[in-house]
Amino acid sequence: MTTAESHGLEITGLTKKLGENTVVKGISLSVRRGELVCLLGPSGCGKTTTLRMIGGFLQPDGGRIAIDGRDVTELPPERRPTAMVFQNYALWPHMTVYKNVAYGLRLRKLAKSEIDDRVAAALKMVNLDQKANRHPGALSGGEQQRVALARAIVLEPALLLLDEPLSNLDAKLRVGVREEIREIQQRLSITTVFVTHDQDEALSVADRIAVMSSGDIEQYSDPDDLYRHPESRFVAGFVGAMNIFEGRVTTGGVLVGAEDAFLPCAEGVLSGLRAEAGNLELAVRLEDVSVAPASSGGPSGGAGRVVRQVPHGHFKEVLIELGKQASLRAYVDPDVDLSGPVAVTVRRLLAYRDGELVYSSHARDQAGRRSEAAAARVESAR
Amino acid sequence: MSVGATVAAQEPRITLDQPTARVPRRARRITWTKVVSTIAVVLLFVFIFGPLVWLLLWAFAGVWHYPSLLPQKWSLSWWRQVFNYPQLVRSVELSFLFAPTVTALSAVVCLPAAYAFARFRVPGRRALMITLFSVNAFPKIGLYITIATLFFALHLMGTFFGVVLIQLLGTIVFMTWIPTAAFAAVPRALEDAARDVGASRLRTFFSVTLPLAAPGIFVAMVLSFLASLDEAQGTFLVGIPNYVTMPVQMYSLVSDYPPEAAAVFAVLLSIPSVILMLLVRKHVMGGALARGFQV
Ligand SMILES: Nc1ncnc2c1ncn2[C@@H]1O[C@H](COP(=O)(O)OP(=O)(O)OP(=O)(O)O)[C@@H](O)[C@H]1O
Ligand SMILES: [Mg+2]
Repeated sequence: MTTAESHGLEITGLTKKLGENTVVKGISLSVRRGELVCLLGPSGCGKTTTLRMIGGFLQPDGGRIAIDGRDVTELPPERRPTAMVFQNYALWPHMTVYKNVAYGLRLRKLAKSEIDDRVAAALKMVNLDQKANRHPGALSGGEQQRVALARAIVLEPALLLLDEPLSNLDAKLRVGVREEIREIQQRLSITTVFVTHDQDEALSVADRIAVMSSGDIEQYSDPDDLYRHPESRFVAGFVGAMNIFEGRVTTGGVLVGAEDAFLPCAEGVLSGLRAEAGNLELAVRLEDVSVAPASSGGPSGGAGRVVRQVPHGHFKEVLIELGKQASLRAYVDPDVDLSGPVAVTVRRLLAYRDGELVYSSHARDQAGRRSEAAAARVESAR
Repeated sequence: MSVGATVAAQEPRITLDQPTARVPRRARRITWTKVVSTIAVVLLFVFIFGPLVWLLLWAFAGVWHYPSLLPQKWSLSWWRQVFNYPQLVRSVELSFLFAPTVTALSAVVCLPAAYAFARFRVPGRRALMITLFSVNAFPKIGLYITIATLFFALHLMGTFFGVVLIQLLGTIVFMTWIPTAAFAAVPRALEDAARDVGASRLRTFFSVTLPLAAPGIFVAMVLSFLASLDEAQGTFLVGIPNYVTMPVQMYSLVSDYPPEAAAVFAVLLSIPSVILMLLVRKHVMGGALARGFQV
């Protein structure tokens, strides 16, 4: 319970203006000790700017930053207990791997033997103990990335900052290295802020994710909650695959697209949403669409046709046309033959008005997770 | 995986299949390029080194009359003459006193400015850089004469400091332009990374910025050293009669002695240049200079 008293990182009302535009608009965020939080958002939404303010490389125009309960807002980078892994690694090309990692320890005037031990341990942790005498130019991108990580963790920082640490690696390596980072972070239990624009990466490494959009935090939740209950239209579109329709509610389903194609919903899905609710944006996850051959006499569903199929192994992604103006994507069993007409049914649905969540067909499993604002919005819609 | 391996294994075999069809064509192409590049290299060589060779021949010539391609008689007598020339040793001493002094002073003055130009928004930066450049782009004699009148008023004519100042005029351009580019080429993230692990600004400068900009600075210092060593006009105007450096000495040698003596002295004068250029070659070839210019 002591962790609740002082957070690993506590940001309040952080603001930054660069040139004419306000790039970070008064964001607040608390990160528990030992927690890994992702700042997730599209390019240019202010993630790097936020991270650079935490690291001390940019002076905020307003707001406070506290690390382990200590206000660091006025401190220069060298006096903050942070360590950063830069997007392009920023290894010093004139120093060997060993010297890159040892530099910060030398500045702390540690004994030579202790420096040697700690550098060796850090390099071992990232599997680079064999390459201590190489120069960074003679390393692959993945190895350079790991040196940058070793250089940061060898200082045992209170807060680890990672700016898109995987963006320069190829897709396969990215998955491997992100597991490694997660594993090391857990082992050392370092409070970590991880910046990425890749929602897949965020969902797989983070304890919690702060989704950013043009300088604001849209939602701050754990990956599961973020995926199941996106609180804004922006988050719904940004995190995970999603069908999003303009539409209205009618009996037994929704009318979507310009031609009002009928999309039936399963029993109870619309129970909290009145038919006259007007135009909404409706969001349906791909796994929340049931697809069956129309002839099989299943639930009375909207008629459609599969126009494209993408195999993914144990499931298949299909694109279904519902009339001329509306289509939706769904995950289906690869063994079911869907070559003929199909019937679709929606099992779960989220509704947004003016970008805000107004209805969710499934209440959150843990009431405590629901942020008060979103709960209030959901209540008022009922 | 196995598909990729098969393709890779087959590739060499494809080339082995038609060796006879390929080799002659490639050989012909190589010969042709070779001829052109050889001619180019020879022309360049003659253009650059021809006069130097001619100078060397003169320096060792005893008797050399017109139609002959080489001197009829070789001799070291001119070398003896020059080495016995009373002011020679003094002028060599002076040259090697001025060149390091001027280089060091211009480094002290220009390097901080270069760093500021590269890292901060200095108002008037462009204007200043272009002014520096234009000082060297036009004949300097007019400028020197203007400065000389100023030096008269300040009693700097014929003084050591006066000569240093006039030589600085020629070195400042190298010491500002090249190091500015070298500092600007050091990525800021490398400096941020040093601050991040606990280095102060000053510490960061000495352990990251300076070592990475060092090749460019080294090139600039060598060029300054050579510029100071070869500077004759301004030094002549301000320095005589007290400070007669090697290139200034050349003037009196040329007027007082036959060409052979001047050739000997010219060869002597170019020895430091050759040595320094060989030293700096690694850095110029290594692309430090080229890289430095991409601001
Ligand atoms: N020096 C500057 N002057 C004015 N605007 C700037 C400056 N630097 C950045 N910006 C703007 O600030 C916004 C946020 O930049 P930031 O680098 O934080 O984005 P980001 O979320 O990290 O994006 P990315 O994923 O592309 O790295 C961008 O729109 C950018 O154009
Ligand atoms: Mg960024």
